[in-house]
Amino acid sequence: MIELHKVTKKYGSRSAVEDLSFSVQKGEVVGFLGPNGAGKTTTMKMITGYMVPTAGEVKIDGKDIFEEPLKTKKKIGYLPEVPPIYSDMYVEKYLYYVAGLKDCPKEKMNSLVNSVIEKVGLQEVRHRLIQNISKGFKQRTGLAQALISEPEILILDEPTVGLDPNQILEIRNLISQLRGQHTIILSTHILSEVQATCDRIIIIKEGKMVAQESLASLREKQSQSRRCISVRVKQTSEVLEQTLKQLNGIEDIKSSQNNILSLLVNADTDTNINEQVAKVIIEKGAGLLELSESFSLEDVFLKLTGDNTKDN
Amino acid sequence: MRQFFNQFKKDFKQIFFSPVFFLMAGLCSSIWSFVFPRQIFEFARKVGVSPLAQGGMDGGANIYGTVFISQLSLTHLLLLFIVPIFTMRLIAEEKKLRTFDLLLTAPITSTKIVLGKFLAAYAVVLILVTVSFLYPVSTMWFTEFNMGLLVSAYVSIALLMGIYTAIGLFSSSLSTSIMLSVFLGIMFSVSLHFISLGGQFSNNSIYSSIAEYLSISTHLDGFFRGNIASSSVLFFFIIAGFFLFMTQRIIESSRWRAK
Repeated sequence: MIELHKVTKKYGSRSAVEDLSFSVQKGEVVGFLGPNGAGKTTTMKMITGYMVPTAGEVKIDGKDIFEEPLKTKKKIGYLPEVPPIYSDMYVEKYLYYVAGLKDCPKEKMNSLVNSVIEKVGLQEVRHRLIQNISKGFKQRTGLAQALISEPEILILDEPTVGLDPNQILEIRNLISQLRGQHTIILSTHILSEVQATCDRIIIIKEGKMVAQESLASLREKQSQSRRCISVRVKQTSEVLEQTLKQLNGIEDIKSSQNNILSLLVNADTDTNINEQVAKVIIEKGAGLLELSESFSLEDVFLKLTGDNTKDN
Repeated sequence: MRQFFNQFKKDFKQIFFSPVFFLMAGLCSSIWSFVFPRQIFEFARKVGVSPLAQGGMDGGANIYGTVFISQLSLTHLLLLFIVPIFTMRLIAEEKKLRTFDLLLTAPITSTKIVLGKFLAAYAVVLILVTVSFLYPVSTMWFTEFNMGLLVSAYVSIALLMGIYTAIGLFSSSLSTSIMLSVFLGIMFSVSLHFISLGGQFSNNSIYSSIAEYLSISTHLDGFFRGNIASSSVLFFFIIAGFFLFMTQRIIESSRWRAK
């Protein structure tokens, strides 16, 4: 569906994207990860036909987007980082305008607008000015704009940035609902988002690809080496940590603030280890509050993109 | 065609229903309504003093040469500053609010975008020109004048406004600041009148004839005398077309330029 072949984009002498190649199959949901400034937005702009790559080619459905821009662009819905909305227009009027801009057939106009309003849940604000609606609704209007022409491909650039947790959840649910109907590329630096919605992730750093894997295989890889159990107790003690360390399979213990202990477990250990850990804690009277096993994409991400990601 | 019309409709509404338009239209009509009757009275007084000067196309005072011409130049002067205000947001704000992304990723050519935006602003400007036209026309119930001459003069103003609108659109595409866009629009429009300056002092006949062709006032003079020359009409189309072409190139340039 989408193919990038050795795509390079240079801004002057600085290259934002270098020699990037990947392809996305029909119906796939791909998470596009990377620290800020890694070239995510630039890549997306090239896929959507906004920008011409300095070298390499971008193919949509086997056709080069810069050779047949009008045909291929019809297949793409794009939600940029900042939703492209006119604050002095009414939500409904705006959607009619975008439908016209995207050359949707005239007789289908009404049904397209109505169905997209329903799909993203804009019914209550459809007759309001865009500048007066909340940020969550603005983001939905942006999403509606991308969906209006019923495109095969959806490119979403950080769709949940700047929203409150409720709105994030709503947008995320929306995206999950779209799965199956569209091929989706989703850029983000929120890792839980990727975990929640994507089949596969592509991680880039400084314009180069550092990993491209399905979430399942990544999870497997991670758990093959070691697992991480995190425990919250009422009070920690030296004795507790010592005893836990003696358990078979525990490799390392890190204690952090709020009485949280992170236990690194050797992958060969059977799952009983959770039970044993719980037992020890209760026996020592430390007061077990929480015990969870986590697969964290963050570890993978940090490992791949280096430590400098944190200060961005 | 539908895409073009869609773009036209959106931008026309955005300018026409903005407070800026009503403010400017109000300003224009109050100035015209203040000045025009006074010109008429002044003309009537002069005619009353020397009745021989009345009527007639040539010689003496005629209403076209005094009252109407001053209405025309007043219209021109006002619109020189107002047209860039109408066009200021067209592209600069799209860039600033990042709605430009939508335009560039939509299946529409930038030529259609430019033409849609240009004609939208031009239509709004023509509304003001029409309002200005109504003042002289309203005197037809109690005076005699050559209607053809008046229409010809107004056609030239309308064509000149096409150039100003194209210049305004071009200045709007240059930056993300609407203030800068207004300023540049006025600067370019004004300097257009000085392009031909110095032509008449040159000994080189080719240079001076080029300068004469590029001089707006040469072409306006023809129209004001009721002489609609196709070369003059072509001149206005070429200049406006040039600025529209430049605008289209600037929009396309954002496909390869770093922000």
